[in-house]
Amino acid sequence: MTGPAVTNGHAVEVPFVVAGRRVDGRPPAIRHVENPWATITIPEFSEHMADELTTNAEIAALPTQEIIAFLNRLGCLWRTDEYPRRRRYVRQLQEVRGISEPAARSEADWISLILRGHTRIWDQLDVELGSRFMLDDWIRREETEVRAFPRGLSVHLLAGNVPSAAAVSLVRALVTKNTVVLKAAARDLLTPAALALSMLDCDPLHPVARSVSAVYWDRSDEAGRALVERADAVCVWGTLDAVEWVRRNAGPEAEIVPFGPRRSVAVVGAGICTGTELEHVALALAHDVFLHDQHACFSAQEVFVEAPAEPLLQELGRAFGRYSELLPRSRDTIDDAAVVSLMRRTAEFLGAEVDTAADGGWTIVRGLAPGSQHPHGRCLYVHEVTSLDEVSAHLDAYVQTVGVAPWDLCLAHRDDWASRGVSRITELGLMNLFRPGATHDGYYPLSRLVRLSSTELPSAVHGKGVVAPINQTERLEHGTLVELVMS
Amino acid sequence: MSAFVAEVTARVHQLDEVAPVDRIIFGRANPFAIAKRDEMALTSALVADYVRWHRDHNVGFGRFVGRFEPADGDDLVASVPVFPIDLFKQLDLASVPNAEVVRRFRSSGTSGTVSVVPRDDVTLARFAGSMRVGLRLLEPWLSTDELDINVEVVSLTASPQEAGDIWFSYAMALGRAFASSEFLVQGGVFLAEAAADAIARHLANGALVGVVGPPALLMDLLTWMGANGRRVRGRDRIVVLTGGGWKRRIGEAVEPDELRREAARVLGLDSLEQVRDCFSQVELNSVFVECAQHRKHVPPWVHALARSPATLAPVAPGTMGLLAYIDTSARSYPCCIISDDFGAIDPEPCPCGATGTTLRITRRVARSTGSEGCALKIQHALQGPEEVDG
Repeated sequence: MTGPAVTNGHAVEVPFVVAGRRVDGRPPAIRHVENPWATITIPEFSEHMADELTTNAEIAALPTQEIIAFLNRLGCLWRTDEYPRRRRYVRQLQEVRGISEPAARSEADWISLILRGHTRIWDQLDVELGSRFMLDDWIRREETEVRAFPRGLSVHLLAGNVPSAAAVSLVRALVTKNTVVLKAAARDLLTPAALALSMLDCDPLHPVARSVSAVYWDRSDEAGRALVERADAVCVWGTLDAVEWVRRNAGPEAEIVPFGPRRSVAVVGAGICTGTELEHVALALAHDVFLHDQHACFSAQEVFVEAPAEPLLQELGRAFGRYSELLPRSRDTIDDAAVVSLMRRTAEFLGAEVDTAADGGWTIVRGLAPGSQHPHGRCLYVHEVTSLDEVSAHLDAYVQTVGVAPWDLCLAHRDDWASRGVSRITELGLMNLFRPGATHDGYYPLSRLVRLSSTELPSAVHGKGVVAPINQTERLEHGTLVELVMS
Repeated sequence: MSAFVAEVTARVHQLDEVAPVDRIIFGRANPFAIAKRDEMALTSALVADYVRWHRDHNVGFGRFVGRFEPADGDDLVASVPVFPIDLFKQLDLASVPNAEVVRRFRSSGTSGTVSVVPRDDVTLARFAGSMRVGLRLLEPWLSTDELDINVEVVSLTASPQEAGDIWFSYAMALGRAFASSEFLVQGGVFLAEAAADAIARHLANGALVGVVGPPALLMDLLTWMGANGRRVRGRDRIVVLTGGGWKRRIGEAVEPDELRREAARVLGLDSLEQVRDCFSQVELNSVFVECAQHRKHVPPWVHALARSPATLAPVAPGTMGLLAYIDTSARSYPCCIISDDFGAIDPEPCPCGATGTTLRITRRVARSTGSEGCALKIQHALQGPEEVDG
């Protein structure tokens, strides 16, 4: 991965941002990260840099509304191509990652939406913490007043499979007033840096901007490991190995917020029968398969279709064709191409029906479950079932999202599916949309990014079920402690 | 002739009719001296017979082959469908009755998803034969006619008994079929000092010493010998054969030429030609041994081709693709496989003079989670935990 700069492909320099300060690579303290299309030159992460990454008290003292307002301003910048950094980001996603222009624009749009969604952020705080004022004030909860405080230094180990997920992790940590270190993944060095740099564009002296860092270190880097060890919270996105590494290396009091590997499936009931409905469902399914080239945890990898599956399958070919134009596939590495080709050939050996786009851009496999590892690359496994009751046997805690059509299937099956470990059930076509109140991998992430303190009412307040002041000494003397609460 | 080879030969001769592939593997003629044109005709004939036989004896493979009808003008050998080796993790691909399977060999790995390959006597005998044929490429440093006379093998692997059904260990321990062997990985621990002692002892006794093992353990041995003042003067009396690759210790891998130079320095070899690498995998039934030019030669009973990662169609020699093999020595299972390895078929004949296809293996296909290989089992006890994303 590291080595001298190559002469072919794009040469891109990506700076770090360290505690709100841009750090450009200066030889010899640089490293080159190569992929099939580009060589990215970044600064070398150092112990000295790591030392600068400490909790910033400024953001902890900032009213939530100021943080959200800043994020909103930032999101507005990201809204259009008027913003040069967005233009550069969209171009570099294509050059460096091989992402198609429409898909790159879609990533930038999502970043804008995530940053700009102030009302939704307030709602999210309200739902996940119990009150949107929780980080700014003491909130009455029964006989206490409770207030949420940031954990402190939050380190985000990103996976890079979905570029805009960096924005999700960033916003969650900032609105809970944490200092943020975005540790980029080798396959996406662009997004964390672009986000942090855009904050400097917005206002380099703003406490939020000064609380954000975007860096990269190699997996064996001791300074990076030591930083994780002293972090107050670690959000880790990616493989089980990555999650286990964090569990081994994080401090004993650190809150680990894992987003480990998940898969998602779609379910289509027999109630879909008219041509228009079929077309709509097929397009919705195509969206959930094609977005992020199926690399997201919420991407549909399999669809269970209540028999007969044939009408939907006929419509799917057209829908996949349509989405091939809307979101053209990223350029494949030879490894990506090989994994998909080998999967197709395996399916053929096992007797499955395999339908492939003329250009190899998508694959539909019928009559076979994916092996231990789904190949991604827009491959959909179709299972025809006689009853949707059969679906639950295929669900477990590794299933993040189930997308359904028609919607009333949700009401009929959600108890069963959720009890098997499914985190979310959505309408088909909306599997990527986390609405306020949605769980993420089985929990509310904001609640894990704060610690709660409570102040409790004095003895003069009797409390529920108590009809006299609380005097424990007197009750111990009289042996009446058990009567503290009236029957 | 060792008892093992005699037994193998006897088994093959028990067959009603000696198959053409056996005439090549076990015949007296040098398979690497067949003229190119004859070799192509021979391989084509062997492959056609081979595919037909497995189609008729293996229902799953027969159904698979039936899905692919070659178009007019297609190269019949190149159009034989190959299947991914992953299928050995999912299916029992035996083409012979269970009673004929003498052993099911496994690739190593800790994930629980390992390849399982059923082998009968004939298939195992042919594998041993392929090793013997491959060793011809080591001449004049090693004469295959004298293998069992004065050769001592110092094996940097576990004994076959300790290794169980792990194919790599079985293959690397095959030296025992031809020569006296000592196994220096015991209880998962590599005994470097004992290996150095054995080399010195055999040299003192005037034996020709074969040092056989994975490159990482060879490097461990060389490092230990260098650090402990145990360098030897092997001159032309040591031949080193590595196999299995660096696997999990890939971070420590050195260039092949560097390994050869270090081996020559510590073992006091006359020539870098005395250090060779070889390739096999559990799903393949032959060994590709390096010649003096350090090219891996494919024997004529194996058809090797690089295929496009995107379409699996054959690519031109010299072009990198997924390496695919049809190994007609595998009777107990259909060895019409496409591997997980990127590589290329060399476009030019090998200057060493041996005929036949030579190939380069570049690297494994990168998947989102790592897979572990054969050398892992031995090395597991010798290293720290695997690196992870973090």
